[in-house]
Amino acid sequence: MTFDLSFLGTALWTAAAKIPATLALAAVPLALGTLLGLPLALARFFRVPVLGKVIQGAVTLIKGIPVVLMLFVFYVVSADAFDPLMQSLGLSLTFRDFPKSLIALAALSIYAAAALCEVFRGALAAVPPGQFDAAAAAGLTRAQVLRRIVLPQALPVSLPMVSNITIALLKAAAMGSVVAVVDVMNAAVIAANANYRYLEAYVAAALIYWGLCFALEKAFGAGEKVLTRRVRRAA
Amino acid sequence: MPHEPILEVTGLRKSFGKTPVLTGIDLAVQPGETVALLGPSGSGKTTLLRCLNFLERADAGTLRIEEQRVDLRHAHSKQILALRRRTAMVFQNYDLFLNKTVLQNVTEGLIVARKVSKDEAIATARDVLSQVGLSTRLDARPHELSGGQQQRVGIARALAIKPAVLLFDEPTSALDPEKVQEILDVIRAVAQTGMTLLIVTHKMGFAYEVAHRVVFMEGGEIVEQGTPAQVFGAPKQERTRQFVSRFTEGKAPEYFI
Amino acid sequence: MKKALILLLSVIVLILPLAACGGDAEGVTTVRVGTSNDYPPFCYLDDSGALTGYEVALLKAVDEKLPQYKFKYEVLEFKTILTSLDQGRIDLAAHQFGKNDEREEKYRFGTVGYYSAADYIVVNENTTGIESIDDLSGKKVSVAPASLWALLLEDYNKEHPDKAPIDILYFESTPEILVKNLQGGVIDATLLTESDLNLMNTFLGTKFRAVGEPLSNTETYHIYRKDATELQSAIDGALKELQESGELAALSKKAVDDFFAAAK
Repeated sequence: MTFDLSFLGTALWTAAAKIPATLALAAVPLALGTLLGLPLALARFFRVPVLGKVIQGAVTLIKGIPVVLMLFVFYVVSADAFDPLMQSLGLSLTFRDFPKSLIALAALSIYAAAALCEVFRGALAAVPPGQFDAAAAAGLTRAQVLRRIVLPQALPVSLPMVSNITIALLKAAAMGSVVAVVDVMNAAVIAANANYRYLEAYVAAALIYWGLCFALEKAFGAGEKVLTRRVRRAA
Repeated sequence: MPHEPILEVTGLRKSFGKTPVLTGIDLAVQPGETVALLGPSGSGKTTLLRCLNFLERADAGTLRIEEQRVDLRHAHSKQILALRRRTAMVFQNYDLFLNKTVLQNVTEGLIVARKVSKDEAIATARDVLSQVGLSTRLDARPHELSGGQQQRVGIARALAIKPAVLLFDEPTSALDPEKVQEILDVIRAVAQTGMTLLIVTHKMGFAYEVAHRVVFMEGGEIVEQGTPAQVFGAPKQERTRQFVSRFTEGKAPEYFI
Repeated sequence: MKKALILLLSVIVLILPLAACGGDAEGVTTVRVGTSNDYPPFCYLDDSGALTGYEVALLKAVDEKLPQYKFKYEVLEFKTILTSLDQGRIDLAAHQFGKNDEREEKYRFGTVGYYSAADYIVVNENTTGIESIDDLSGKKVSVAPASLWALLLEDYNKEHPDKAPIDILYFESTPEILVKNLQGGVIDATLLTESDLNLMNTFLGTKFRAVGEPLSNTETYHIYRKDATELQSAIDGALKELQESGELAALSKKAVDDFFAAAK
């Protein structure tokens, strides 16, 4: 079998139509993961009694589970629990009609939250302790210290790792196929069913992933440059 | 001095784990007074300073600054915040806000913590920055400044809020030797404005010259206090005598800068 | 689905010592047969750990008709069977291989199909109203993203624009999820081979049933290297005899029945 360039084009076109799905499967977990991961990181960083330890355990647990397994577990648990739950809430929504992509989003968000929790904790630790002291001594509240002094310094530090996690999420979106989510990867594969030209389909998917990752890395790199220019550490 | 003390701490105790660091400190500072805290490394003087604005939480003791009195161990966050806003601190490593300009470093505490209007805060900041001799580089970031310049900003940041008590934590020990004198000069000028200063320092000569009162600490307690002439010239305690002798005997010119 | 089942049921692959190549002393040639031990009821290990199943039973019958050959089994991982054929480590691949263009270009297929893998529409026990592919219109049906079944359903939708399209769910999933989906009514039907359906009902306690006529029938064949004309025609000759005598059909039924009887 020779390499079929025209089918590569077809597969590229079909798969590219699913770029929004893949981006959503990365962006939503990134956003939710940040909203969840940042407070968790703060709780760990400030060693909140009990909660800090619980979070540490949970993060270790989640990071130890392959994403695909988490998707399975989420799916199986929701398949059993969804309808009774909806009934008890008096809602008529059934699991049959529930968009399965939300399960993928939930699982990926939890994974992202755990990963981002670790990243943000590391970034917080990279802020010199004197910054906390100086801000507190200036009479700022704990929230003001974080919002105005600490986070503007910590977040730029975390950007390269956040970029890595985003790219990992982008690729993990392909595992959404276990819960019937069709993303770039799966669209390419489905396109190849007709003629067995899976190689072309995989190449098409790879090209799209490379393009997306390249664009993301550039974007994060630019963001990092802008943010860190102002916050460079004193020599 | 005839006044009621502006700062009064009693029975302050603090341990790090099982290691006692402060074993019962009583100290009063009069308004307008400059007090130098001296003592060997590990004597607890920096910890004492940090307990006064709750950067460290003391295990026991009470603190009064102006009319606000708190239990050092049980103070809640509102009290702590109110108390912190009566003091300002100058740090050994300057600890300027790295994400802020020179001007923003000075206005931050005014605008955010004390709700001063932006225009008023900027006017105050310009004023104190020129007072410390730094009126040109208002938009510079901390990493663009020399250590001496950073510490001037640190002092301006503290002055701007017109604290009841200004706390200095070894303000010159991270500086290059040739910059030390210029910062000491700035602090001396501040002392002469009648502000109340509590200074942890190793600079014996500076303490001798500027402080109204010298407090000698060792092993987590105050061993002796008095005028510089009393403590340096005629120490009552053997420990004080030993400590000051290292600086007074023979080496005087070097340390009495 | 088939792939997932293989994964689920896979056990450690035993690599038997490689047999010496070529002819034996008394003019008996050893034929090395590549198969796996994790695809019941076609090839699996019985309780005593011996390789058994339809593939083995059939070749044993073939062997009896061909005194010039003796068969020796190499247990391989499924994915490596055809590669081993390329490399000359085996002479014959016996693992329910179906034909496709790519394979036919590279290998020699036997001419006698020895098993017919029928694909059915499969529904949960109480589901009614689905008897043929036409009844799937507007229903939720799951298939693996990379499968001929997916194509079959897509084509059906294309050819019947007047009907409500079949709602195809591309599940790259384990039997566990398929079971949840069918039992929980998340999907109305799926497509399975008869054999995979039996495996699922036997081992996962489901009561799924195949409905209507088979959607397709995939014949399975032995695969040889291109140059193995002599071996191929000898075995095909034997297979033809077995087919005509009815022994082939009996053997396949017995192998499947034995497996499920043992499983119960």
